[in-house]
Amino acid sequence: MKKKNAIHVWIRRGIGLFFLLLLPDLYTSAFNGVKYIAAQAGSAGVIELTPFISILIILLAFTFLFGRFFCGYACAFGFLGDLLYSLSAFLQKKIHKRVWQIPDKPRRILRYMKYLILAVILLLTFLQAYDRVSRFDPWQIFAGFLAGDFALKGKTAGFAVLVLIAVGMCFVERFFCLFLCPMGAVFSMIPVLPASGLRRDPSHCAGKCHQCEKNCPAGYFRSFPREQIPDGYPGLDKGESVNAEPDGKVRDQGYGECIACMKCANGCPVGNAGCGGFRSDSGTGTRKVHIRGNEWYILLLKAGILFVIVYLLNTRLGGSLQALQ
Amino acid sequence: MNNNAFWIKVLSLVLIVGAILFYSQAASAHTQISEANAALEKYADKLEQLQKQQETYGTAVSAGTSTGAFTDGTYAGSGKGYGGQISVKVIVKDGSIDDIQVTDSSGESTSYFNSAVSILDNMLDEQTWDVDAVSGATLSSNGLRNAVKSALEKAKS
Repeated sequence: MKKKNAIHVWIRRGIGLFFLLLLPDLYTSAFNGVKYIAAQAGSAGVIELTPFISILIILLAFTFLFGRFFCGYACAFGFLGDLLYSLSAFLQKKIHKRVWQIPDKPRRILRYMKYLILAVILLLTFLQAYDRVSRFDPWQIFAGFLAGDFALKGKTAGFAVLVLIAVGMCFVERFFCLFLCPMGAVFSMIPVLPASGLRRDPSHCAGKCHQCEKNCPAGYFRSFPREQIPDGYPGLDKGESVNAEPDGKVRDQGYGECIACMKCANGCPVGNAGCGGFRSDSGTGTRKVHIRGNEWYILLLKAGILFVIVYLLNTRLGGSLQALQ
Repeated sequence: MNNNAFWIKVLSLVLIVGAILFYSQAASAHTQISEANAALEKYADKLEQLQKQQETYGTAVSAGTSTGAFTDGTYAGSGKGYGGQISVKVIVKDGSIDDIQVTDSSGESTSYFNSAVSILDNMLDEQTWDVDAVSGATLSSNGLRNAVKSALEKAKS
């Protein structure tokens, strides 16, 4: 089990590092595309197919097909946040013997903040007033660091925001992604093909396991006390784990908040949690093909597809992404 | 698990993208129209400019004399009339003759001179000293012509 987990960690770090070195400004490019649309709309300007818009379309299309794989594996911010959190968790274990976890209730409430941030940024951009708050933009500073520019003159506001985000990333896993990321807010509103959506079948859960709930940074899987779940609900006999609302309806959560990090699938002892597509269960038990989505070849395939498409686009447009030049 | 949320999101996405594309069309049509307007205005201004130029130089060209441009200023000139020198003052403004005033015509006989004076208006119209003399007041006319001519010699740039 430990060996299996190690592989998953290495793959995730490896893909993250790959994208950090070769395509670190995917995130900022896509978000610039979003701001460009708002700015043009506010100034009665034409919306042209700029390189930013092309990147945005690619990422949104990718998200439609494969879920928020970009968030979970290819985003530079996410990758560094994961590193910070691993370091912090390691230190916390050494000092306190346990890692502090944010309770679920505040996490469910705070995640709406990213929509507010997106709305404010879009409104300001629309009114052509974004310059007033652009000094708080932490991504420019971050991009500067990646390019080796550590001069902070005149960038204190953005640097302060970056530091606060880093602190948050240390104590809440994927703090920025869950609570603050405006691009994440956009991604969460994009429909995702059901085959790519993460889920679990409550009737296949192994007793009172809860591993997927513990591992998921977004708190995507939930369980409820027994008395809140109506009788006859699948999986009830195994314990309390059901991915349902208290009234028993299994609502499609739209896969919005899930960042497709696959930690649920990685940690599930019975291979239950995951994408669950391409299942071929003849019922006679002859052959079962489960693709959970966290297999190394699937992850490398997705990473490869994303990289190749962006790289092709970049060359065709004469190199708009700096890192690839 | 039902997939309602998926289709709702797909519908919303289609509507939003549709709205953006529709807006894009409208915006580009709008830009084309304003660019066309700007070009038209530019041509209208150019046309006005050319018309003004023609007014200024046109009469000079039709009089057959190559007047060229005059230098702004006030110039005195004199020429021999019937009974002595006629002195004039020619005022050039904006490169063309703006006004001609007679400063001394004491040697002239009043009725003849009064007939001759009408050629000053012709000089202003045609922007040249070389206009037809009034028949019957030839000497006074020629005096005026020579006077304005000598003034304009000084005004030539």
